[in-house]
Amino acid sequence: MPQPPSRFRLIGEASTAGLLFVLSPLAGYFLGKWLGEMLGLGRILAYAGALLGLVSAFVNLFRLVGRATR
Amino acid sequence: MRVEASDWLLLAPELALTASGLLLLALATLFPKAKEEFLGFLSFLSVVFTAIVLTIVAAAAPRGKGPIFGGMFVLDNFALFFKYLILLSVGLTILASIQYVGAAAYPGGEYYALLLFTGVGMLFMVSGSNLISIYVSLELMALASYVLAGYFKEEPRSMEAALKYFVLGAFSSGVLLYGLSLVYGISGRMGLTDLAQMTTTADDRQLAGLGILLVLAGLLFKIAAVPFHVWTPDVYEGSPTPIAAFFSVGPKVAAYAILARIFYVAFPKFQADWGLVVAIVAAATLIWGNLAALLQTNVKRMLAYSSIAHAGYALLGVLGFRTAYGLWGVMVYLLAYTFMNFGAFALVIFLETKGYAAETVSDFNGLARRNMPAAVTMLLFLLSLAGIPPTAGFIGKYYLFTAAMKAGYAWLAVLAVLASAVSLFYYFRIAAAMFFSEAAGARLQTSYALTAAVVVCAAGTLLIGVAPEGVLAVLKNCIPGGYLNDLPADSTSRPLPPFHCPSPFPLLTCRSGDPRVDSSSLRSSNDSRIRFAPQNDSRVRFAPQNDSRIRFAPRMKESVAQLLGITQCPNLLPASA
Repeated sequence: MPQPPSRFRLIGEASTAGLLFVLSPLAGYFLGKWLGEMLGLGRILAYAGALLGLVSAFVNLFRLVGRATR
Repeated sequence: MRVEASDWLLLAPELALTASGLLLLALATLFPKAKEEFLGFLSFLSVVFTAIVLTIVAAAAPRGKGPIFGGMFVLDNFALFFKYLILLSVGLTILASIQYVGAAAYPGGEYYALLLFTGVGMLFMVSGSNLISIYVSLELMALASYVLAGYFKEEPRSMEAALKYFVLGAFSSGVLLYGLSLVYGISGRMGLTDLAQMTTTADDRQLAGLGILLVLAGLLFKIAAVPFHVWTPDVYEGSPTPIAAFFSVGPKVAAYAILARIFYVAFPKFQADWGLVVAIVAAATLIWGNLAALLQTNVKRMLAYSSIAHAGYALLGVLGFRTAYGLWGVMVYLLAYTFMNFGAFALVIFLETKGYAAETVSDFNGLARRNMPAAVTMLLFLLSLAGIPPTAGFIGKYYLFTAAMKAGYAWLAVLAVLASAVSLFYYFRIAAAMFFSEAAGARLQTSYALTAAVVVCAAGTLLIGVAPEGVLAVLKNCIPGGYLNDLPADSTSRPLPPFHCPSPFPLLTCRSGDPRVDSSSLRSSNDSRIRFAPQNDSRVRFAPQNDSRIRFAPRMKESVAQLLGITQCPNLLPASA
């Protein structure tokens, strides 16, 4: 049977959640911007990257809350 | 900021509902033995009272009055429509809760007070015309909602729902604020109409696009659109069922209203940026919502995924906001959705009250044999959710799909039709269980209040489906004001995006030569486009080209025109005049 994560580990993960919400969209945005410029697709990839970063941050947070409540 | 005494009048409905909530809290504290049913009926009466106050305010307030409190608050026909819809959803939730809360081991006073405070937040939200007022009212709504989700605090599922809703909701609010701050940083403006005049350099435009994207993401979370939907099934499953019903309707209605206002009024110039994102999100929402609902055996989770799919349908209207069908489609669809979705949830509550849980589809087994009216009513709601005529869902979807077609998103309309076809399967699984299963399902408990809620929902679903024109006419009479505050007094230079009216519309004309007609806003009437330009006295001025006629269709388009406040123009006369 899998052991629940320790409290310290959860605190560590929770403290990174806030950072993820800032860094993920920004990282996605700049990565998408760079890729868009390379491929000549304009800023659409920048927005797509930011959106993907945001989604990944939400999914990560959702999993974290799910683990914490069990 | 100059505040006149009459400004406070426009706040009367919100103040009335706030006072009612506080009164309920005081009553529950001072008289702890007061019956939950009594508090429930009192809160329902306060909602009715607020609706009456709203009607009086709308009729008595000076016409053409601009945004008040420094441009923070606006009461236009658009806001009025949504305020009535919000009060309807709060009222239905209270009716559905009276027996449910009475049977639970939790105090009812706080429950109803929180519900009213959520309503207050939503009423403020749909009247927000400034980024700050919108954000604050959204938080007022959200904070009360988090508590309501975890109201059954001894039950682990309810607590888990509340925690997930709170944490994810708080972060989505953060994302929204992040976007708002970026937009403010670039433009230096907070008012929606001021933002529409924002001019950006090429570099700024990218950052503005990012800000708008984050604002959009924050609002997409509130309407539970994919990929910001992950919280929905768990929260709906864990929350008290009347609250799940409320979450599926009330906050979504308010979020759609504000989404429409922000993106239609403040960011029309950026539609090239947000249009594609919304189209992709709508497509993903339609596909994922319907496919995931197919796999569910828990009815509340199925309805949760179904509500995600319906968020996708309504997004088609957002894409078509520049067409008459888009704006009107969203309004009609949300009205229809309120009735049909709340009705379906109410039937789940019928089976769930007092420990008889309608958790699975099998709980609906043989319902037709045990209570034919309940089974037929549920069938009506399911048909409407699937978009089968003659129900409200069909009318709403018709307008939305037309909006998507006219806005150039035909592929999305086709996808939405296919998604509707898929949804038939999971809705009809419940219908088959009710009518064709011999096995015994959950027991049925009835109450007068819940029956009243179901009857109202069924009547609304049928009425909009069978006689949409009649309902729209009643709706017009229900909106006695006629404010043009979407078009502010100070924005003389910025024309709104063209408002398309499908032709032919022979009924209404505007006579030329009138000094009130503004010739700078000429548009061709041949292609059925009219541009409305706000003037110094905050009235809409418009002028036709060529044949001096502005044309609208007699019923639906006339209603759209009135909702937008166009009939304020004294020049608008019937063709026969």
